[in-house]
Amino acid sequence: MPAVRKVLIANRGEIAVRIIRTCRAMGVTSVAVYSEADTDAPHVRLADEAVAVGPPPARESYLVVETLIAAAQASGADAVHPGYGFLAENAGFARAVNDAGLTFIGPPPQAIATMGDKVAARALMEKAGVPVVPATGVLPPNADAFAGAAEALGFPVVIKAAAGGGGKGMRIVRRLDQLPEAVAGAAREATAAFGDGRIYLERYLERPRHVEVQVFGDTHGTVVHLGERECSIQRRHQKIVEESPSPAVDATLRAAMTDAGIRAAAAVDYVGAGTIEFLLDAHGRFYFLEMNTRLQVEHPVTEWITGLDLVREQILVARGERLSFGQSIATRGHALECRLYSEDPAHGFLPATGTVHVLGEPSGAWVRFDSGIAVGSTIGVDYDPLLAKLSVYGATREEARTRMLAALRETVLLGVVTNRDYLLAVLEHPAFAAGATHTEFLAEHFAGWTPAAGRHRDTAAVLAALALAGPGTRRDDGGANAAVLPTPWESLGAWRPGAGTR
Amino acid sequence: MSVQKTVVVDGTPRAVQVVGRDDALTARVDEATFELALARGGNGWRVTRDSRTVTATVVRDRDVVWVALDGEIHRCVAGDDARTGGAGGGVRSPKLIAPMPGKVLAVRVEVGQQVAAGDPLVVLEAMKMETIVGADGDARVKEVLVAAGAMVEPGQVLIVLEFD
Repeated sequence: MPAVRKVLIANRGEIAVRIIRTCRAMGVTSVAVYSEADTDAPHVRLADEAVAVGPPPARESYLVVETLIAAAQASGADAVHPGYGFLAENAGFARAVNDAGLTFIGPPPQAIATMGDKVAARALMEKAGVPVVPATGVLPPNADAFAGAAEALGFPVVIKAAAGGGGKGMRIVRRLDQLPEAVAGAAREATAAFGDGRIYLERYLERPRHVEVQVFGDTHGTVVHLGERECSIQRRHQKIVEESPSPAVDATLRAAMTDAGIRAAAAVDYVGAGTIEFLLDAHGRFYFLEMNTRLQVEHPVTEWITGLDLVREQILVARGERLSFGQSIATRGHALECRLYSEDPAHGFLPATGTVHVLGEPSGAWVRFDSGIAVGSTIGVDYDPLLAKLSVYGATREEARTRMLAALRETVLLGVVTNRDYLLAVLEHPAFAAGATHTEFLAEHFAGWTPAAGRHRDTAAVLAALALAGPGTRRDDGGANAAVLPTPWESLGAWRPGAGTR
Repeated sequence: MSVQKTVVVDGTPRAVQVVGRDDALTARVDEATFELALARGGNGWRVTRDSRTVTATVVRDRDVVWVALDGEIHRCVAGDDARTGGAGGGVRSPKLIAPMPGKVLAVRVEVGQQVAAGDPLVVLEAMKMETIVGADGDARVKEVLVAAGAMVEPGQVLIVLEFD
């Protein structure tokens, strides 16, 4: 049986921090890796050891298989956890880890490869009796090939990357004349994101819900589901709010969906944590979308309602142990997660950059903040703009929703534009409160959104005017916190606006 | 003390005037006039207005001031720099700027070309996502200042237009 006593985490940000914490709790030694942009990152500080893996661009550091394997071997690690993103769903990486005599904390390479090829996965799912959305195979990347296929399927259609995920290389097309630009853009984006430009076409379902089933398998042939998560609140096909259970799923539908999820996992002899994504239409029909062969960003909502630590279970399974739970595991209550991104929802979700000057983290009963940032962190363009995940639990959905609103208001990050106020507006929306969620929710309710004025905008204007009028570099307290405030910015806390306090 | 400034608060320019001492300030923001008192408190400020006191955290990063007040977050920019960091309130600009740092994937127009509102002019890539920079209105392309493959900084001028 593999030992798994020392784990190299081939990732960064909040997920690296989250995995390191479980390693700590299990007495497993953790090894972080970091690029030159992440020298002082929280995951590096938290890990027992850390190895530098190269320059800031991910393709020169976090995506270099040989460097990561060498780092694992040099540090004496016996296992590698890939997190999500980066190399997590790269079968070649999983194989290289195994070939180096290390344990890959994830599914067998063959399962990753099969599910990673969206076209092969569809065919396999059809064979396994899992419902799929009508689609073509891979098509040559030109408008003519796609035009014929699109007419046969019926508009609207969606172009997808065969190697895809995360909305990259994806384009919804509603009219024939939109095809040329969409085909070219999707192929280009797929090549840039995955190094694989193959694309295909699928019928686009209007206003479906995105509902996914968490599965877990061990090496003793057990596959168990952990209920569903609904992740319908998406911008640019990227999830921003997730919850479990889904407000649209009753016991009968849950039985059907989780059964399909287990069939899907069993079809690839799945081991470890995996997620089968479905689209659910208004009539309760669901279709296989794809399987994510890794730990999911939104796994904390499942942890809230099951009481499990999914990373712990991953490590146990990697050691060859049996799952610590069976299908009789009970879920309770309701959990919600919001993703805090460095992006500007009022301006097309453009990525925002900057330095985290102030970070107020929410806390309290049933509140969890998984973060990969700290005061002083620089947010650049080299990596995914996910800063942190805020998740909460409540006995009911409404209790969880109001708890999330309070926790979001407590989340104060100054120095980088974030989507916090947008998340607040989504959670406050009557349609969200009513559970009337679908993947077009943001497009329908939040197009052209701008932040509410707030009660204190005028007061903020006054404080800003005073700060801007103040001396640029002078500090007249000479105080103890001078050392912790980096130049060239300054805090009003060290600056006297008027004569009255001199 | 007397301060007079234009501050762009969350994208909207506001005319601000402040006179008085910290503990008794009179402020005018556009058409609204109100009294304000400031006192140091903890790591920030206690701000009293209409007998209600809230805590404020204020940090300045060059020309940007971040204000956290009672759970609200406001991003404020010195008036002269209104164009940086997004729309300044519907004013169309002849200069198309890069909204974020990234790489130019494609330039779709040439000097002298006529373009319509919304036409894609430049395709940028950042964080593996493509962003299309389009024209604010019907215009003629006056200058093209970048080429495919170039790395650009936020605020960098990409294309100069002449509106019809």
